[in-house]
Amino acid sequence: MEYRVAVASRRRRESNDQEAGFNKYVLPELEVLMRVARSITGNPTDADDLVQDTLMRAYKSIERFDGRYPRAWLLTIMRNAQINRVRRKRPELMRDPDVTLAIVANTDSDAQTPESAVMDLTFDAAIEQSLRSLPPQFREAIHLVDINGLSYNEAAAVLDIPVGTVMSRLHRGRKLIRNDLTVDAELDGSHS
Amino acid sequence: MSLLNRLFRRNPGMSCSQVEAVMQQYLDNELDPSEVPKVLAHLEACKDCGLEAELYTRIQSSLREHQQAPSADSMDRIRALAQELAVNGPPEDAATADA
Repeated sequence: MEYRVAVASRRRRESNDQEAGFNKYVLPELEVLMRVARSITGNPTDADDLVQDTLMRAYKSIERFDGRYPRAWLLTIMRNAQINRVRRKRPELMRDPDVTLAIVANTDSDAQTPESAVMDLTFDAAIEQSLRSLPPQFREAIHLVDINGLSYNEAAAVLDIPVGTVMSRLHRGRKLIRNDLTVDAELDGSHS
Repeated sequence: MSLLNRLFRRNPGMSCSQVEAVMQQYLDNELDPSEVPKVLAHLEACKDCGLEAELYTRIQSSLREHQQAPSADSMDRIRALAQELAVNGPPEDAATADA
């Protein structure tokens, strides 16, 4: 009887620890997880499923988490969950370079004059076009860091590559966009 | 800045190529804080590098506009799931399926 009470008491304590840990480390990161999942999967339904899967895994391993860098910890869990999901769905295809990410521009037109809004739309459209034409590994790094606001370390955790590789892909991707803009500007100039 | 540097528009701190090598880290706030003042000083003194930094800042700002906020419905569902998980743990079928 005493043994049962002790076991029940220990389970209750563990459950309270899991709840506290979950509230402290996981709940504040939900929106970031949703955004990154959307980038990784390319569609909202799969993103929802991936986040659910990530939360389940995080719950199970939260007792072993040391409390440092919760976002990077969660993103690593998400990456592993996604690898498993892709393996289950398409074992022959771990990455589809043809999957394009739907992008919706979110411009604050109220704060602009009509002229600057048109200029910004042109600039934004050129960048969007350039982003779509980037090699997938560069586009992926730009999505995680520039669009979703992850740090180099966090992006490295998602992609399972060294931080230096994240930097290199990101910087090369940005340079390609920058060069595309310059070419566009030169072409526009030659037409006028 | 010395007269020679001013005459030849040279920056006494970092060179253009040194700044180019760290500019992206600087723009991402990932540069060693001790290097930041040197980069800033160069960007203020060197028109070409200053314009380059401005262009990258505009590119980043435009890219941020692509950020897709999750729908309110999705966020509500995930929050509810996370709170349920925190309080009651995973549902029986999920626990069994994983076991």
